[in-house]
Amino acid sequence: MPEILTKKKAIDKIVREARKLDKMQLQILLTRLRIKKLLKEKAAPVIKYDSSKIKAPTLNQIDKWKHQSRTLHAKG
Amino acid sequence: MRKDRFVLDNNIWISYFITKKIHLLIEAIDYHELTVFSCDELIEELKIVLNYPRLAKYEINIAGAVRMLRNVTVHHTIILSIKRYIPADAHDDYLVALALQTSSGFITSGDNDILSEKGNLEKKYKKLKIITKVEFEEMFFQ
Repeated sequence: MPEILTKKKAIDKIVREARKLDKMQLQILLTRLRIKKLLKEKAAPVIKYDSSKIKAPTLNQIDKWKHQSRTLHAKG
Repeated sequence: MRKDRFVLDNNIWISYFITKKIHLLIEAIDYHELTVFSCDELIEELKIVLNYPRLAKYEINIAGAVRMLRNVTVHHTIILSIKRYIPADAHDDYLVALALQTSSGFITSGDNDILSEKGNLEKKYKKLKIITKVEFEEMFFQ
């Protein structure tokens, strides 16, 4: 029968396993956990405009703005 | 190079934010266990573009967008000097440097300066692919 771990033992086991990972693997693991949390909590929207009144720009338009904003920023 | 590692250009990130489809991107990252990388250069540029006055009408919560990008990406500090990869625009070189330094298999972009270098970059870096947003979605959106 598999051993039933207490919460502390389970956490200790996860920490031991995590310590075996290199820095990037650990960062990837932590990012995956953050994404799971974000999807579970349903983060607040970061865009507020009314899409029935304002048309969303095309990808080309967004790229054009990316270049224009760089130029504007460079001019200070 | 890893097929599950990606770098997304800011035009792609902003497109998902503005079209209110960022949740679809995050769900795809989660479902397919993708790793998307970011760096200081990408985040600084995101702030600059989102602050551009012509985007004001979209009422973007800039801090929220930056926080979301940070939360769903693995941050990498570009340590080596950034070489010239995109002859038409040196501002895009950091994306290629980020992809190479993180062994990413793909750069997704809607920037013609980057897309037009696809042939040269893919010839030089055999395991790196330059793909469009449509190609990215064909791979991972169901």
